[in-house]
Amino acid sequence: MKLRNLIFILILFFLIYPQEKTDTLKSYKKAPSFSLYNINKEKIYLDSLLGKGPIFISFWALWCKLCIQELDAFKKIYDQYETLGLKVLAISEDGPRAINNVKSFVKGKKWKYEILLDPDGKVRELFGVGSTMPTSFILDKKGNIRLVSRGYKKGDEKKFIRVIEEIINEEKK
Amino acid sequence: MKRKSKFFLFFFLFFYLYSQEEMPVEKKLNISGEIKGEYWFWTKKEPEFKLSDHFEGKSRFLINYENIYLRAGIFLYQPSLPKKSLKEYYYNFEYSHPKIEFLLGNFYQVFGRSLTFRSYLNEDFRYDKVLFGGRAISHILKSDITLFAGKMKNIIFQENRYQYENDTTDQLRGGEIIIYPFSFLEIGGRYVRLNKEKDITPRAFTEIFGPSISFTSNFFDFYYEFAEKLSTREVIGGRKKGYGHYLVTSFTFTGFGLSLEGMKYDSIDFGGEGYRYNDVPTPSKEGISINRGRDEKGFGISLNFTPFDFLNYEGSYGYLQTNKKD
Repeated sequence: MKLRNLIFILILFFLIYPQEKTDTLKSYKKAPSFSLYNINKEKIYLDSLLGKGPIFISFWALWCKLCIQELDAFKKIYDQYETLGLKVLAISEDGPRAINNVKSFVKGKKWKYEILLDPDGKVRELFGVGSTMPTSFILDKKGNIRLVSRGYKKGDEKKFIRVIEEIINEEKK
Repeated sequence: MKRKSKFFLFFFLFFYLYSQEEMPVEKKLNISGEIKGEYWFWTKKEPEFKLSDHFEGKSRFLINYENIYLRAGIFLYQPSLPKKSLKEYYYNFEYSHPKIEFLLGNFYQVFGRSLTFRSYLNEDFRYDKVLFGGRAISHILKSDITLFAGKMKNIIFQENRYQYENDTTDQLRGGEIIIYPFSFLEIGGRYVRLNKEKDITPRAFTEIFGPSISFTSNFFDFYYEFAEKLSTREVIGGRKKGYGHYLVTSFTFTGFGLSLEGMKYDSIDFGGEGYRYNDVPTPSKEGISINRGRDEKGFGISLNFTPFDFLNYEGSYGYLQTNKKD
């Protein structure tokens, strides 16, 4: 292996490692603005949803079993916090060929979330999701990114609830 | 047309185009990126001891300010054998306004359900069909119009190396129009032409075109697309025909979703010897058609059913056969 490859790997390591220590961003980066069509062909703007409560954004796809597990597990959280202003944007990264399947899948799953379609991956790119699925974000009412969660394992719900409650309590103050 | 009529038409158009409300977008500079790398090494003891390795690295960056997007990236593959290495650069400039978009550089493009054209990246299958050229899209008058021109690099990992699957000198030009007269109805049409540098036959181009119609409601969705291909008979000249039909419907209620699809293709392969620029939908689970769109018909059913919160049923069935022995 050439020396430059080794250097490349080392740079990669140092770039990635500090991010793994914590997935809660302290500097609260602002989420990029975007608009996407939902499965009923209505245009949804992120900016129009801000200011009402926490927003959970999950990038998912039909082929991604962990994404589906995460969104299934999030049902209970949504039922619990919906009245307190929680919104869920489940952004499907399936291509244009899967649009019909996404709709029938979502209805069959009884998901009450806002299902958005991002067939060319433009919003995924804006959020810097890359190829890690699922990747989820929790935004506060100002649009600050309060949590980034890459991948999913059982029990992740606890950290979601912690951040959602944090945001709701801040709003009460 | 009279001068007064022109004047009114101009004002009507102006107000129609600019009366659609758009959310004010906050001015933000976004920088995002992705760096990935993998390194493998392995040994082989028989028939003689051999040590092999390979390194694969990919990085992509995006700078976005308001409507301007600048993208750059590199893909690097270096195995033990230097002859098999590959280095690809990706870059583009995009201006993306809610009404109009322009792009120069590398991009991906899909028309309809890809009976006519599909350029895409599949990282799991290590398959990249990237275009280099220009694209313009307009979203006005309840319509989306896309025009593009470019050359494609079809990079595939095969026989333990990355290689170009297509003739990278092939020139592709195409356009698509989708009209939304009502929110529940979508009517589309598309056309793609392929010119080959090496083909000296008179009227040496292949063209593929066709319409589509889509209907959406809360409980029922319907989409139908047809495509026809006209290609040249090599050396002797003349036109050769192919066609494809694709239909998908879905019935959805809370807790119940059913999708049905049907397809029939005959000589709809659009590309060259061993490669395609379209990618016909197929019901097979792997998503790969038997005969790569040359000659096949079939159907697919998929069901998702949640009668109770603790019970979810998912099922799918796909059937595909060739029309004739080929």
